[in-house]
Amino acid sequence: MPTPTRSLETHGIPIARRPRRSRKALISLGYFVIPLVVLVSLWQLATTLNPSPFFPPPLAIAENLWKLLFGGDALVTELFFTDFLTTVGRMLAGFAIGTAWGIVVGTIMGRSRAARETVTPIVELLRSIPATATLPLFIILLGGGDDMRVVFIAYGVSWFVLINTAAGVGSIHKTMLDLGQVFKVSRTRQLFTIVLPAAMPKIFAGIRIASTAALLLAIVSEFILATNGIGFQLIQAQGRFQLLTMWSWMLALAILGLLINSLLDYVEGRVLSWHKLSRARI
Amino acid sequence: MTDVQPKSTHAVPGDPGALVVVDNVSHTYGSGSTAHNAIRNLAFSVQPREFVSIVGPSGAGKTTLLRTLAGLLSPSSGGVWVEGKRISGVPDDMAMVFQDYSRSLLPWLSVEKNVAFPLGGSKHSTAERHEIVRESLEAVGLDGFGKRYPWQLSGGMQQRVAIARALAYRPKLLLMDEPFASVDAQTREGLEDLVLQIRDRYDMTILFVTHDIDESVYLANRVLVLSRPPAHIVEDLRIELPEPRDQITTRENPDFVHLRSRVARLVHGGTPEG
Amino acid sequence: MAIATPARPRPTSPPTGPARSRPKGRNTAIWRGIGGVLGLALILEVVSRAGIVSSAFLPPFSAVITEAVLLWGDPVFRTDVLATLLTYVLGMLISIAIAIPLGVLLGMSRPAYRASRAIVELMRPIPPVALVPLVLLVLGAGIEMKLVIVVFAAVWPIMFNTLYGVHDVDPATKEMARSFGVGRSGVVRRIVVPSAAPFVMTGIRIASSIALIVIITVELIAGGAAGIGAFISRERAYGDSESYLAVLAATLTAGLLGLLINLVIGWVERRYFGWEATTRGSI
Repeated sequence: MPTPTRSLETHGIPIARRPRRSRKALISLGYFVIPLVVLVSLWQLATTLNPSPFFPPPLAIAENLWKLLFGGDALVTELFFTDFLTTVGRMLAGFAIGTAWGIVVGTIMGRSRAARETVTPIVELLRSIPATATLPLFIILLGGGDDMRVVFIAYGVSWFVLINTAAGVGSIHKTMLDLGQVFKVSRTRQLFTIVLPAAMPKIFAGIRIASTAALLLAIVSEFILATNGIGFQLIQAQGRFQLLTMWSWMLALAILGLLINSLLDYVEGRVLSWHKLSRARI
Repeated sequence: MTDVQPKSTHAVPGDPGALVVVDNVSHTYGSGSTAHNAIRNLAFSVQPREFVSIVGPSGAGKTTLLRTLAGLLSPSSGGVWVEGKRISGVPDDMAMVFQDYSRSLLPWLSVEKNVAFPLGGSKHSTAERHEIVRESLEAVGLDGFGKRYPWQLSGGMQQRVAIARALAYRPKLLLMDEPFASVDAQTREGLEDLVLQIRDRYDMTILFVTHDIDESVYLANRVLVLSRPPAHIVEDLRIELPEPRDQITTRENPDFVHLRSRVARLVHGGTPEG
Repeated sequence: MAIATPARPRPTSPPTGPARSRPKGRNTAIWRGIGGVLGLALILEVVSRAGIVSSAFLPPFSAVITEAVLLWGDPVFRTDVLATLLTYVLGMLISIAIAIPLGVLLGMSRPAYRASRAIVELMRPIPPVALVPLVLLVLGAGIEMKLVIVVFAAVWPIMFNTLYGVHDVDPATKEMARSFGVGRSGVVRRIVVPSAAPFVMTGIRIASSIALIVIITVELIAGGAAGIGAFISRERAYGDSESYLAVLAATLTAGLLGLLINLVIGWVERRYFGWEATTRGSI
């Protein structure tokens, strides 16, 4: 939890100040990077001393990945577009649709107790079905194309957002809702200026989970009946016993996941800074 | 069971002089065996520029009454008239200050955006809005704090922001629900005097719910003492103490001591004389 | 001078208020829930039978339910369910055995705690199922392969929550114990472990749902495996309308199983570890 590191005197009253972001970030980065470096070095050492076909040295993996994606004459290779970006595209589309749906339904469930109580058993059952297990169903219904994949991803992702949104909207403190009523704020304005911002911490938590799930579901959807994508490449590499390629694509996956996480961290820092800071104070 | 009781001379709906008329209001939560009768046959009226303290033992009565006055609650029976019109829902020209300031200020908005919040949908221009906010903040002594965020302020200051927000709405009637209960004693004194200043400056009518007996007598020119649920008015006490009130001299005043003792005895369920 | 104006006669002794309990609220919730389920079932049934949506797309609800029940008569299905459950139980046990001691150890030391958090953050983006192609090559399509992936997936929530729970023990409580002369190992045993227990339990609950999902997914995509996921995958491959019904029914059953397991664990968590007011989980 960030704690105020300095006090500013204004009108003779001490005011808490925002903690220095840069120093803290540097320390966190250190904790992150150093174990990583240590692990990778150990791995490199182990595979150099005792080579195994199944576990190529990390440097070789990185090099191969670079070659696969950026090695061509142009800035990026064709593979970058046909496989890396297609996965990203599917993931983003499914994520966007699923999140929108989840927020809408979740808000309705959160606001109306009747709706929530009626729908909860259905939601609990449906969301217990592992999203990946619904893939065969989607294939039967929608074929093996990209629209199937996007719908599949959206479906799987929506549950997390829905549940978190419903929880966030449903747990808004009564005083805040009273506030909207007392000052005669219209229902629509209440929704966008009180309800959603107040629920945003929980909604965002749902969005974070959804982003991880979106990537996962995209990959899984590319394991079956696909012709391109990171998942497809993984299966191809497996079939051809090309372990170096397989590891390279797994690295690409990890990097992608990291990028998404960092992006969300950044967004959270901007959009939800008030939440962390007011929690730290209380 | 209805009491046959003489109607108070004030409780006439549509009384043109009164700002607020509470006509035989009762409210029961729940039904059947779990019914809880919170308030019963409350009737009183409030004249403009009165400062009415509502005090009583802990329990649902005071809050229920206040929520009914605010239009947040529709009473099981009886009605409330504000400015000669019976209210259904929240009346115009009324603002409220809540007890829990940490939940009533929107933490994602700056102080000035919080204060401007009630002005959101209205007819004011941006310049007008800006001026109202500035003036309201200045009236509560928070001039220059507009860009800060609630988490940066102490409890007392946050409650001042809440008061400024109510002021920005320019209400005729201000309802305050135990606003200083969560604030330390020293800060409370400053806030109490602030409310008195505001009443003078803006000519407001204030209904002030509290469980602090001293506070109720110090601030008001009229104290309504409620009983335990089902709450009814035990006493409607006129307070005539010298103005302007002062934390030290007023509280020393023998009339003050006498009045607060009277109220204390009533609140604790005894007779006024002890 | 103060003037007193009594507005009402003296109050009689105040009546004792009845308890403010609300059994009515819970009942409406249950009725509404049942209504919702029945309503949905009815809609699905009617829409299908009336042909509004073609029954090849959406079989009647009653047909799906019947099939779901009949499935249990199929020995192949039963074997598959058993295989999944077996993998689940084994996977959870192994994960717990690895994660808890590790978590306790790392949680007790501050730098180790911070470093481990960083590593967990690193591991998080890697979807365990992405490891399937690799592990298939290394270990083949048997239960070992499934277990490796499940354990990899389930260890993190348990370890992380254990870590957090151990780290987050209120220092004031520890000091209190020390002031009564309790030694270091005693503090661990009597303060740290019980204090961290609810967090660990939450981690186990999270890991459980992750584990089940991962197992079924792995069974789905790894050809030749056994389990519910494999069953669904096989049925889909047949491609005819009968197997579609089987796919639907089996998928629903998988969900039901997951729900049941979740409910049981949730019950255990509440019953034995519910005294901790905050059940903060992570991941």
